[in-house]
Amino acid sequence: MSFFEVMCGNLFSVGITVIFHVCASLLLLGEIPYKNRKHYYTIFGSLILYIFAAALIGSVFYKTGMFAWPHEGGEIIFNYVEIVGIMLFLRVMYEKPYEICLATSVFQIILYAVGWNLADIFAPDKFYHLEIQSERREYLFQEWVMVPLALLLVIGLLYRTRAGKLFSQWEGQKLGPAVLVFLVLYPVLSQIVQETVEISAKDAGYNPATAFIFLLIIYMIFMHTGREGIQQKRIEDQEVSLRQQGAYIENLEGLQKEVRRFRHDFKNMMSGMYLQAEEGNLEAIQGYIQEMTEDFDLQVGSQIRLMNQLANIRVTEVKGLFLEKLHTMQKEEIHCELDVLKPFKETRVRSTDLCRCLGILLDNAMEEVQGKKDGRVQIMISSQGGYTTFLVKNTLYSSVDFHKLGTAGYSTKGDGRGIGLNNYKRILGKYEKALSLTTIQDGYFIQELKIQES
Amino acid sequence: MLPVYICEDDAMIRAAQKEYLRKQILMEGYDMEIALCSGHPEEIIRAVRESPGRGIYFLDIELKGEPMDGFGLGQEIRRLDSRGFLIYVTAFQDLAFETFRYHLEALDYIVKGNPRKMQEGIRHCLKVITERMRREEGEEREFFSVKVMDVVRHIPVDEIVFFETAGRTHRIELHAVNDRMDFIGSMQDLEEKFGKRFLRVHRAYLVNVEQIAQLDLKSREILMKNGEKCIFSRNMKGTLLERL
Repeated sequence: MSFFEVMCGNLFSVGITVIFHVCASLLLLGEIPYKNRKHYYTIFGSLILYIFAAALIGSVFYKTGMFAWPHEGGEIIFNYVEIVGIMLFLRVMYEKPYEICLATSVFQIILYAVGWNLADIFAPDKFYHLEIQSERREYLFQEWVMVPLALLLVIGLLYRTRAGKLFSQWEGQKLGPAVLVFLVLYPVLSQIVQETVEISAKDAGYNPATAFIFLLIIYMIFMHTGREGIQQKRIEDQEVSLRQQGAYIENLEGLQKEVRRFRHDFKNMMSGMYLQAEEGNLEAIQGYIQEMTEDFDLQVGSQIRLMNQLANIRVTEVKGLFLEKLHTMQKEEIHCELDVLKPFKETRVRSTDLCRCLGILLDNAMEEVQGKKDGRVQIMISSQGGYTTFLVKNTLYSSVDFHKLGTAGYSTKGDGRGIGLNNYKRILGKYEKALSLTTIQDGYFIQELKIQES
Repeated sequence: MLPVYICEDDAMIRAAQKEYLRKQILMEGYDMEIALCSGHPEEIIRAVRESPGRGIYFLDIELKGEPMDGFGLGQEIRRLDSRGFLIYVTAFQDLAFETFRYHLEALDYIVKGNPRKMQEGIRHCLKVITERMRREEGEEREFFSVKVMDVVRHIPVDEIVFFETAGRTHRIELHAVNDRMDFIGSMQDLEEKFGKRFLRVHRAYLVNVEQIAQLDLKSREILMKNGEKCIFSRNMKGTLLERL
């Protein structure tokens, strides 16, 4: 068989493999993040490049006889070529960190092996001599019809079991180096397992059990790290709710103090009012009543209001952040108002990213009004109609150089600051459906973050 | 003449509001008239629908026993009267004014419960409205309206410094004198929209010619009046020199 013929055959086979990998990654990692023509072109280009490279390497290996090396050496090397290739392709497609791409790539290779083994169960137990026409046809039927069918089955299983959900669970976790090393060693390890499990299978070069065993182990690892993540999250949630309860109690105690003070004033006022009433001085009585309602709103009402609004934030991490920031503002005597008209329950932006962004916005606002007598910070969270808006507004004292805003190292608050907004831009850059707006209006500096949820 | 509407479920407060408004309009000679006072939001909506146009609305937020609250009523009114003046009259604890201002472009709020304060609030609002109307009369500024998700922003065209595309997304960043905002759009559309006043000096930049301060031909940089810089492509050099 000529090199050209091998190459053509390989191109077709690798093409099928690639279709499988694209489907699998769509199921595991979800939608492609940037939906525009240019990104699609890049993805498509890298796919073609991968197909050609893999086919070429495969052909060279076949022609030079590397596939016949002892202990399947050539096969293992080729496996690594595939792993690296798919990792790079996933990186291009999703732009996720390399370790995630690597882990996903290995996982997909294993899935592919499972599919391949499935098809192989129905295949005759023999070596094909590709030089013989009839055997080659048989081989190609196996490779181009049976294997794709089996792969389709695997894809179907992935879809039915909603593997993507499970996958995204550990994706947020940091994979330990040990797990990564284990995953990377898959081709070598599988060969070792193969040879020990069934020494007689050495000739056949594979054993369906190994891929399944690996799948099981990796599934367990994923389950474990995923569960660890859930536990971690639960602990964090509890911490936040504890802090929140602490804040509530503190607040209630404060309220009680205020009420006590108010009661004291109230008694005095009442007796004053009684005297005025005896004299029939209506105006003075009106004045008393007005003063009293205002005092109440000022002393007690605003605290109650703040707590009511806070209760509408249902995303634990965000609530924790606000509790902390509101506490700081209270300590520094910064006048702050919070508006959460409708419950804020969820958002598409990952909560760690969201908290970092909001933290930056809040810190900016707080720094600007710190120590100023009439400074105020107003915060609004609005979630309705499929959009979430965060608005942080503060009185502006210094002039803002808009053109330096968002560049590293610039801030209205002196040198060495201002990394904040730069980071903020960078984080938001990851999300196509999150936009940022900044405005100066009527002496206020207004920072907005808008997220499209649907 | 601007019609004034009041929606308030407490009859006493409603009467007090109406009385005070009537007096103020008479005393200050405002070009307004009280069109309707009601405790039912539907009646207000019906009246606005029947006589469309710009109006002034004093609205309570919590309307007991009614199918909608002040926020819903405000949304309905905005649909019918996009330029009207919404003022919320409310008890202190219902207040979420930032939200009202953001979504309904509400003008102001008045805390009820204290008659003196309420009167002061009403007086202030009427004054602000007449001032704003007067200012609008003389103004012929051109605005660039852009939809950012669920809100529309209006930026004066002469304040826009330049537009910048951010890499491979459809995200465009608008740089203006007092604004910096992202929106989804296409440079080509913007180029067509603004015509000659803006120059596409680079693949990534559409610049307001009026805002250019100076050119640095060596490093191919444009310094804008507000201090921002952007680069221009080689073949735009001639056009730029010609236009300045």
